[in-house]
Amino acid sequence: MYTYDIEHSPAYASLRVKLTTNQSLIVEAGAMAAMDSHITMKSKMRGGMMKSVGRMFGGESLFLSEFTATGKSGELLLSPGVPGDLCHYQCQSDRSLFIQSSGFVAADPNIVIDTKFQGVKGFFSGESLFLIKASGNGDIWFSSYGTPVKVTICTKILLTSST
Amino acid sequence: MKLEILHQPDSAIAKINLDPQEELVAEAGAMVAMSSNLNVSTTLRKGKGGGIMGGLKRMVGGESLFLSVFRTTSEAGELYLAPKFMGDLLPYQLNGKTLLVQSTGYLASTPGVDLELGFQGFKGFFSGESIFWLKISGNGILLLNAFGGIYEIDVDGEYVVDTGHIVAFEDSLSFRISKANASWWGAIFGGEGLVCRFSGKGKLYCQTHNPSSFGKEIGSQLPAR
Repeated sequence: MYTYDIEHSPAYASLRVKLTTNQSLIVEAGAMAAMDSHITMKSKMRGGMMKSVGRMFGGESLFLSEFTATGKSGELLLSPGVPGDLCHYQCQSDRSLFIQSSGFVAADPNIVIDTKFQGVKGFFSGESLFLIKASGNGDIWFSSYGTPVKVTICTKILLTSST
Repeated sequence: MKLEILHQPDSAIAKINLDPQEELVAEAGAMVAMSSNLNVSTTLRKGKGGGIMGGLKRMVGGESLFLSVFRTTSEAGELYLAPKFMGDLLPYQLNGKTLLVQSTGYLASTPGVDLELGFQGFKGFFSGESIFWLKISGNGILLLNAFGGIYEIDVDGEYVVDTGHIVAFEDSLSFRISKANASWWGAIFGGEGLVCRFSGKGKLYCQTHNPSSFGKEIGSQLPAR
């Protein structure tokens, strides 16, 4: 569990996460804006080479950064590359989340981040051919260009492509 | 003078009501609208560090730093100022303090404020900002602009900010460039690259978003000219 705050929402949302002692957070490469000086950063190809290359196809970078508050608690500020809003999602073992390829911001290290090929329908959706699949138990944050709208799907909903 | 900031935080615009015979200095091109009785003139430089040396420095810096001066006559007037990038505005009361501002962070100031172009050396080159910084001192109000929201950090000791996120900092602080990672391999390939490590005691102002990351993200999707 993380203590976090989404600030400057909805136009220029940025994520402020408080890490407890020795707690880690997985972050999209390049998303760190500011942090306490005792937080250490490691670049990782998570899930091995193949998954990392897959992630690169997914529109994310090959590497993910892992930030750890060493010795004492600390604060980390993250902002996505494009202006827009940020959302938090609680992943559970029976409920994975698909994210549009460039939308990933940060996640609990327990979450597995995978890339899924969407096939031809992905090609026509106006998004990338790949989607990110986040599964496991923990917190995840994602961003959008503009404000995301939550839609609960019961039967079938028509979405304009590129939303 | 009465200053009001509208449409915060995403598309902030400053509404300024000037009393008769009052003056305001602003970055060239910042004016959006104004009353017709305002006089506008262009000046090269305000305050200390003008003259030939100042001009040379400015040339080396690749910055013209032309400033517009808005002056009311016998009647009061109204003026709207907005920055180029969408984002927040921050009024800062100088009161004799010195503030270092990245060169695109300046929007406007009252006449008692001195602007001086300062060189930050090579670390300025790697900071993701321009090599030249504005050293702003004097008395009065300074209006800063940013890409995205502005947040204030009270630094006491050390603090790390990613390159490209700095708006301004008090001169009681200093920074050095270091790598974000323990290893060079990670610093180069990890996407985080270099960071600015601040030390000292004072206030630091950061912008939530990074103009060059935004440029990279949308650049490839722009139609060819």
